Order: sequence, then structure tokens, then C-alpha cells
Amino acid sequence: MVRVAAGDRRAFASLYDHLAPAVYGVARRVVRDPSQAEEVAQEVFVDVWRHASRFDPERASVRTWAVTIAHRRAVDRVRSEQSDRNRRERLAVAEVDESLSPADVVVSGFERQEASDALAELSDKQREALTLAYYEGLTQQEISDRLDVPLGTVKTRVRDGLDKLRQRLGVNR
Amino acid sequence: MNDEELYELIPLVALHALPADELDEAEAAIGSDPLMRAELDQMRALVASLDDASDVTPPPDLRQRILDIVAVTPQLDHAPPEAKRPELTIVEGTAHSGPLPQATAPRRPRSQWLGLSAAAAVCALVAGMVAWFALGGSPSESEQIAEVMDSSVAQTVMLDDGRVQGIRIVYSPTTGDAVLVGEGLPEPGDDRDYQLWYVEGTSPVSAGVFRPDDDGSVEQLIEDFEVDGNEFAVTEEPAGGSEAPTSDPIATSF
Repeated sequence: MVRVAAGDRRAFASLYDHLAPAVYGVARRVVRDPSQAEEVAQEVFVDVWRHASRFDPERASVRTWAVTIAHRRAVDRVRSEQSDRNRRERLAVAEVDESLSPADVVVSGFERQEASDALAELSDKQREALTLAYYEGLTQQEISDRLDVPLGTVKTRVRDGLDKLRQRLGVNR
Repeated sequence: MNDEELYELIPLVALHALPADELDEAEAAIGSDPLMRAELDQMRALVASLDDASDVTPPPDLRQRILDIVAVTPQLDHAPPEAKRPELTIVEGTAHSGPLPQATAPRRPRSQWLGLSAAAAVCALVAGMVAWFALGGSPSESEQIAEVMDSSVAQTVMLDDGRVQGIRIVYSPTTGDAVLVGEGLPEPGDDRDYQLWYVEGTSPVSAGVFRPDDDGSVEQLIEDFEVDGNEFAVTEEPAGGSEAPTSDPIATSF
């Protein structure tokens, strides 16, 4: 990473090889669509290159750093898609909402199960809150609306869930 | 927001479960407190571990595409000193959060330029950074220029409308680089520079500042050139360039 920050493009290529499956994995899981996930991964790696000198090994592993950037980018993308979709739906009120077809639900359930080993130990409610935030890119407010529980409850479930993971996994950076 | 409220937000920040503006605000506040920052770092490591078992191999061509972009993308906070001359400034496009202007928007008459530039101050472009470095110094840049100028498939955009004639941008689709070329440019004055603008739709975005040589000629490398849907303009600006054009263009492609 030091070499990448010093402008070494060959080091960047091996960094790509090392991180691409993790970064693309996050992007796929959150945005779902493969070509959009590719765009997200591309943005992430260009970010990593441009901001390499800001990477602080005291604060995170390279993987955590890159995955955090990837998740943020992916979430931003999902939300902007969602707001486009909302806009379109307002314009075409009678149109059937295809965003929740049964096929999608099956696919997302399957993908989620693969990724959820770390989540298996949590209570159903904690897992649900973390899953909606992490994989669906929902905000605290949206989770609260979706589950019809108060904001404070969402906050508590998310924190308790992460605390439980912390106890279980220790914090391996 | 008091410390306790901020602390409560840390898991939500780690999960990006707040609207973008609140996220940025909370992250900045957390970053200024070492203890909270350490907590956020831990939470992020936990969140990142949620996906530990779910790596997905990306399509093979993505690698080369990214390496190609990186090959022409300068790093931030990192500029080899020999890569720039003191009188040149690297200017980068500002992140754009709204819908992009339509490339097919009708061209505006010249007289509206200043109004258009005022709008640009609040509506900056664009995905992708543009930076440019000075000619001279490093041989690789001269080589890059030679590669563009010698390319058999190079395209030329003329900026032939305006009081200064003959400024053109030669673009090589093969390398993705371009060279701004001109002769007989008037000396802009000690405290002035020329500035090149991309104009996509209605928003001028700086592509960098430049000065001609003593004989009025310029041959300036533009890395990672974005030709699609853009028109171009050159204005005279205070030394170092402006956020948005402050004068009528001396040359445009439109």
C-alpha cells in the first residue's frame, strides 16, 4: 500500500488482484445488477488509487478500508436508483411496481444467505436490522418505516447486533 | 449534537444507514474525536467482516479497464515535484451530486456566457477527474505528447470562434490523452493565466490553466481527456485560475 501511495502502478495492480473479489462482492450484493456493480468497483479502485496516501494503517486494514469505500459507493448508487424509481413511479401512478417481483425476493434471499455466516449468531431482529442496512442500503428511518418500529429501536438493534459480533469475532482488523 | 448523541450514531455511520448529508456530517464530527474515531474504526471492521465469505470474482476485463484509467489518473496529495512547473496549477472537477446536464442541451449564445458561468459556480461537474500537467521536465510527458501528435487516428477539435484563432485540441482515442495546441497567443500578463473549460450541457468545468511560451506558442498535455458531449472554451483568468469563468472566452469550439 505504501508503494501504491508512492505512485507505483504495478503495486496497484497486485492490490487490485488482492481486493477485487471483496470489492466486487460487496458491490454485487448491494446493487445486485452486474454492470452497475462493475461501475461501482471501478469507482472504488480509482478512489483507492487517487486517495492512496490517505490510507492510515493504524485505523484499518486495507481490506476494511476498501470494503468501506465500496459499501458507501454501492449504497449511494442504490439510493439514487431508488429516488429515480420513485420519481418514475410518481409520474406513472398506475404502473405495476416491478421492483418487488417474487424472483427478486428469491435471488436476494439466496445471496444474503451465502453472506450471512457472521450474522447467524444474532437474534432475528438484530439480523433483520443489520441486513436491511447493509444489503439493502436502507437508512435508519427507512428501516424504521419498513419494520414499523421506532427509530430508537432500530438504533438499539443495530448497536446490539454489532456489539454481539464484536464479542464473537473479537476485532480483527 | 452532543457527544452522547454522536456516539449513538457510530454504528449507523459504519453501516452507512443515514442519508448522505447526515452521514458526511456525522463522520466529520466523529473524526475529530480520537476515541469516537477508534470506535468507528472498530465498527467498520466488523461491518466489513459481514461480507468475509462472499467474495465474487469480477469480470476479467474489469482489471484492464481500471488499470487503463489509473494509468492516466494522477493521485491526490501526491505529486512528484518534477511533474509540474510552478506556474501551472492542477485543477480538478468537483464531485457532482445532481443529475448531469444533458449533452444535447441547445448551445447558448455567447452573450449568455457570464450567466452560464454563474450557474456553473453552484452546479459543478462531473464524474471523473481531469488534471493536467506541464509539458517539459519529464520525458514521459514529451513522449505522451509525441504519441498524441503522431497518432494516425488523432481527432482535432478546433476552438476557432473568438478573438484568438488557431487554438485546437488534438485527441488520441488510443491513449486517452490530448494536447492543447496554439500559436501566437498574446501574453496574458503577469497576474493572469489562460484557463481551459469543458462545457457539457450548461456547465463549464475547469480543465486546468496554462500560459504560452515566450513566443506565444503552447503545447499542453491533457491527461485522461473527456471528449464525449463536451464543448471547449478558453478564458483569461486571474493567475491560478477561477472556479468558474469570469470573462468572455477568447476562443471556443462552439
